[in-house]
Amino acid sequence: MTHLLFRRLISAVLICLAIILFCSLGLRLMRHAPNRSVLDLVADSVSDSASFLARLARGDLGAVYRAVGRRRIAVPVRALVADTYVKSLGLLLVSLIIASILGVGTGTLGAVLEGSPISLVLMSGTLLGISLPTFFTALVLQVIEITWYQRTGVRLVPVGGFGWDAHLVLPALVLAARPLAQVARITFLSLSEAADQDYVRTAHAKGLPSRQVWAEHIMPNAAVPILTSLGVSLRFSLASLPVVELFFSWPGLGSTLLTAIRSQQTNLVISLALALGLTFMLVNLLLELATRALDPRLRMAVDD
Amino acid sequence: MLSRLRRALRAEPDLTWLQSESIEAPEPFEHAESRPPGRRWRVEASLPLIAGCLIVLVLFSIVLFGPVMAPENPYLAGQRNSMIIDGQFTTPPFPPMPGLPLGSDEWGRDILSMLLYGTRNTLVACLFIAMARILLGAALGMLAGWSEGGPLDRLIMSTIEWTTALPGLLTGMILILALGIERGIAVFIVALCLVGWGEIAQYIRSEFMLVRRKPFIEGARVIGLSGLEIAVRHILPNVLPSLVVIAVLEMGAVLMMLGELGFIGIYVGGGTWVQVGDTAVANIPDIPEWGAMMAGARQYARSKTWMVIYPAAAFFVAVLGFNLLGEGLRRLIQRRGIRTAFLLSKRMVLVIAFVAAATAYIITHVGPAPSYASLAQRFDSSLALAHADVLGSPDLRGREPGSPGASLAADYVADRFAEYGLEPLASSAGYALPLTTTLVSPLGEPRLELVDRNGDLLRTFTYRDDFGVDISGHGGAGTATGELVWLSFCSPSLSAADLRGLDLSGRIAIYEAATAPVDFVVEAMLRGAAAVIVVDRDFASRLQYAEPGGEYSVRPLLPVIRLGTSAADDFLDSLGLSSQQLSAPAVLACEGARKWAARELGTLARISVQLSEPTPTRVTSVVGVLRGTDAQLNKELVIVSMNCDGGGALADGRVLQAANEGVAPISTVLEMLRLWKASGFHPRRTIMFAVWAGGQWQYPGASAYRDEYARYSTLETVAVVNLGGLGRGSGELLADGDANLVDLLIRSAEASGVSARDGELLWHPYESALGSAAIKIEWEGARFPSASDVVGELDPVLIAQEGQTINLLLITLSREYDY
Repeated sequence: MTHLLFRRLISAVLICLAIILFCSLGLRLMRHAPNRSVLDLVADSVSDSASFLARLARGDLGAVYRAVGRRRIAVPVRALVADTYVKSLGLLLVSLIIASILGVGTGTLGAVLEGSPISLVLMSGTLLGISLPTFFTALVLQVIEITWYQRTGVRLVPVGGFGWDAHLVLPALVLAARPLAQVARITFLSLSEAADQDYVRTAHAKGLPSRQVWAEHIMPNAAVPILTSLGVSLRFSLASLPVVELFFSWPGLGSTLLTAIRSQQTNLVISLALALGLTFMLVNLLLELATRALDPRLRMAVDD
Repeated sequence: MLSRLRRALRAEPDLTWLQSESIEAPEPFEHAESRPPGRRWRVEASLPLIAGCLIVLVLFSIVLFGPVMAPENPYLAGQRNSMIIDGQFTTPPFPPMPGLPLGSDEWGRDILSMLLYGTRNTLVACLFIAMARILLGAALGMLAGWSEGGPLDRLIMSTIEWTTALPGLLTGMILILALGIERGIAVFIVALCLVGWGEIAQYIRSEFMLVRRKPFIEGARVIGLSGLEIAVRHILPNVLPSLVVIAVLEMGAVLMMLGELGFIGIYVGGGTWVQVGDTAVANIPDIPEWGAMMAGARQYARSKTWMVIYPAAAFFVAVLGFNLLGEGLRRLIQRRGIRTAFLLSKRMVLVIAFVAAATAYIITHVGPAPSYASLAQRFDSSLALAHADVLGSPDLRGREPGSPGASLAADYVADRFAEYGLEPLASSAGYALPLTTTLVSPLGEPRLELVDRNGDLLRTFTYRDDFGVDISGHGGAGTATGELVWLSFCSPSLSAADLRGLDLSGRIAIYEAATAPVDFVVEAMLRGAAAVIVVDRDFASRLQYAEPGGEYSVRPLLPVIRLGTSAADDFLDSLGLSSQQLSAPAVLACEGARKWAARELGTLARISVQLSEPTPTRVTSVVGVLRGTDAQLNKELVIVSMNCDGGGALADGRVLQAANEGVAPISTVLEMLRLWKASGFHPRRTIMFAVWAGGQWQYPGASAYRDEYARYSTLETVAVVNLGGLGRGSGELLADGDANLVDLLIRSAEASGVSARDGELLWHPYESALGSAAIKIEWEGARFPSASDVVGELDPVLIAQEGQTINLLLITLSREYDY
């Protein structure tokens, strides 16, 4: 176990260094410096990375300037990253909770009712769901909201902006749409596969109540793929995060990163990308640990 | 169903499970009626396949036939600036309305057409990216799978981990911007392929490992096949079906990514930055593509939903189609087992050949070039020749400047301009741009003959074809006979003092214009020359006063002849001399005190020139403007410049039509304008078509335009296209001038299947009068004796070729932001 954690730590440090180098090199190349060769640019980006690391060690990542009214206000990068990170994470968590509850529920329902029209509709629905581009979902939800407002004069939820209240609804729904479908599909597939196994038939045959068969024999065996699919959908959500944040003007990590890339604020870009990458790795690690905890076979396989 | 749910949640065991295995004993006669048990399952299973196939087929047909269905061609149509709808002044974006079924974008372009045209661009880009991902992913996945556990495997797997450390959208965005978005589709292929190959490689690796453990691999190894053979013959065919499925699913994934990238403003080509006003710039996505459409419209997502929702829906439907198809295929393969034999059957070869041919067609028809080319190809040389017949008709009496024939020709051109929708330069003045100038004209035919000392005629030169008459400086009329003296100079910057000792009394000086001092005619006159012969490439007569309405400052005193270089060379040849040989002593003499050389040629020249009194003449140029439709580019002006002048009628009744230089370009342009009007082509830049009067004068119509209009115009002239002799020639187009334009012409010619090259051409004063980047286009060897330069001799094949080429050149020049 500690061996594994140690290995992970080493690779995480290496990947972080790679992210820093990649971001600074990308930004250097974007500037279209006409007189510098690629080698010069690589050297520049290495020095950029070094200066970023030095700043990181000092704990001061510098500041970016934001226009507030007529004045330009210096915002410390550290505070900005922390602020946007919290906002994005909140949004992600809400959407993932929605996605996992609804997704697992839908998938289970589909698996239990396998072969019936409801199951068919549900599963076709999930195929539709994983094909939904976030911008399209966002547009449609927004059109519905606006049309509703125009018809009835009642504002259901705000169509943009930040707030830990009704503002969350639309972005969270949009972010949840694809993971929901994905989780539902995987749940359905792994449950119905597990339900086909011989030991399930044995369990039925020896007279266990259906509820017990599902809860004790089928569910635990399907849990690992479902958990993995949750991890995969978190990655989907993270990828779509900038789009959703941009659309709903949610001042989170993704949209800040986009503007930072466009305005080439090297330190901010690297910090945000690092935050994203670390989240990615952390989620992967947690998932791995969780699957081990769930599935004894995996524990056996890796520990030797 | 509900009962099943209830049963499943009851505390008692659900015994219905066992029923499925229990054997019902059906009555024999019932058996025939009962439905086959698997049918419903089969329908359910193949539902995604059928739906996916349908959607993908529809997409494919839009890719093939979308341009036919579209109401307008975005590559050729213009922008709508503002409209008055129900009495309301409206600016784009326009909402959906009759004529604009899905509304317009912020530049007033039809969204439906852009969607239909964009399908091809988007899906082809998607196809390329998906293919690249599959190739890279499958190759590396197989390598990793083959060397399972080895260092290569570990290397590939950790590379995958590294490439997926950040979300693909961000990595892709940074990569694309870093590699340079303006480089177009190649950057997208590289960046998105690097971003997305990992998952495919992982999948293929696991499949590979799975197959590798099967017993038949062991068998293959036993019979002694090598590792490579096993991989290619036994494992690859087993992995192939899942590769097909992945490829289809990957199309959906790439489309999704392209859509999201488009939404955050990253799309193929990155649009064009256009300057608005003095400081602001605007980005115009000028290639119809779904992602670009959403990028351009994002800021309108709330208020002008129609601009965004249709491309977004297109993305959704396409992604859905590919996902359904992939899922359906997956189920099919899963149920039917892995079959690769059908991939090798004869029918499959046909299908693959068809798909390959269609793909090849589509890929070569992406982008604006095919639209331009197909419009350019519709140039009809027979209609152009019909215009030529009118302009060359005997009624016009050779269109001599200032004659009724010339004004008839101008009227004809102006009428056609009006018919084809060109606007006059100034609304009050009509298409005619008058110029009053003072001209003299030769009375009778000027003569230039060479005789030997005995008075025997050696050679006669022909006026117009071999030589012209010059009245600039002190040139004028008169008759003279004298010994020919070839003068050569060390440099053109000699002063009068340098010429000390040069005595020309009673003799006729002949020299090359390029090497002689400026105004050497005056010097020659002072030194007693009887006449002067200037050898020059441009031997057109100069019979115009330098300034319009000017006077002679000095009465003309001696005849000045401009002799064509080729005629002069010919004549020197017959004496066994050459101009280089004659100029050599002067070049050598540069160091010495005498910086010139004179050599008697041993021949006499007899010159006779009679000129009329100076007469004020009124000529008209015809100028029409085709306004650009682009809000920014229409401030840029492209001038297409030609000359209409003919040589007039001779005393013996022959008419000098000047068909090659005077008629062919105008006919080409008129036919092109007809075609543009008929096919609804709108240029983005403003184009001015100008038929200048006084093509060979020093102060032609073009100079008058420059002095009286251009300097007050808000339009900025960016290119001048001069059309020279386009009706006859050797079959190779020559282009001279601005390198950018020459390059564009050579590309246009290549696309039209015409051979063209960079070459040096003779520029008339009107062609270089307008400054700016200019190009002159002419067939090689386009000069013919003026008597035989008639409309009947124009070559329809060459007219068709140059028409197509120049049409394509002007379409590209007037549409593309960067040409």
